[in-house]
Amino acid sequence: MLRSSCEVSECKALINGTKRALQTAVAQARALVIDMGSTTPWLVAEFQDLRYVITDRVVNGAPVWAAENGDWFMFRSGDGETMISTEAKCAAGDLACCIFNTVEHPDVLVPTQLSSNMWMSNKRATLRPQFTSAPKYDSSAAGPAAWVDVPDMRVTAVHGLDDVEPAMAAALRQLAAFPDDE
Amino acid sequence: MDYVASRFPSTLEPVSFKLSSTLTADARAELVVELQFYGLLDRVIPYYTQDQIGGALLKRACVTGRGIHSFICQLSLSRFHL
Repeated sequence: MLRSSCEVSECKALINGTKRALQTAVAQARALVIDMGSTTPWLVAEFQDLRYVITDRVVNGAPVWAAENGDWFMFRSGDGETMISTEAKCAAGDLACCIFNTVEHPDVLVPTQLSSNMWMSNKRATLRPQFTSAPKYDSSAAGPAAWVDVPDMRVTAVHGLDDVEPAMAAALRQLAAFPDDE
Repeated sequence: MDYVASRFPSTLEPVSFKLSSTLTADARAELVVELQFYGLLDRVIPYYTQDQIGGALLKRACVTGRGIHSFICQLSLSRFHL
């Protein structure tokens, strides 16, 4: 039996946290394979329309998506941003990357949930004319890294588990049983 | 030769392949082992590995959720409203 309002609020937080974790798992399972690219000419060919598949690696509490070309990895940084970088940087949880989404969220977000207009790219990932003409943001005084806004990034799920898949069906049933958010 | 090829297309290179929906889980698991052995898994069941990862993520979340859910049920039984 819960005795105090403090215990009740702790209980609510636990329930909400568990529900969010379940919602995240469902969103991840619906976006096992994603295609990503800018909707206007912006990224260099290497990054444009690149397909990423989910892996069993976990960095900062979130799964890593690996590009099918094996060169690039999408992962969660320590401060909750989503980054695209090399395998070595991903393994180290390094903040150095070519493309990142500026949304810092305490919860794990699936790439398909990220805002399409919050992505930034650096010189390595951006077409030269676009990079030259766009306003730049310096991430640090020491480094040469300058970032430009990607006008509109498209992240599309191309493969995921169906709702009738047993694991997905069980998760959806469990989600439905949770009380609505207040 | 072209005439033969056009009249009798090779059955060794199927254009597409679809698993039967009536395949049981056990039969599917056996098939996956064989397909892996012959290096055909990606062609017959694309993204099988990713599906397994997605299933594992869901199961892990469900295990935690199940405990919380039974807790909610107990609270409901005791007519305690959060």
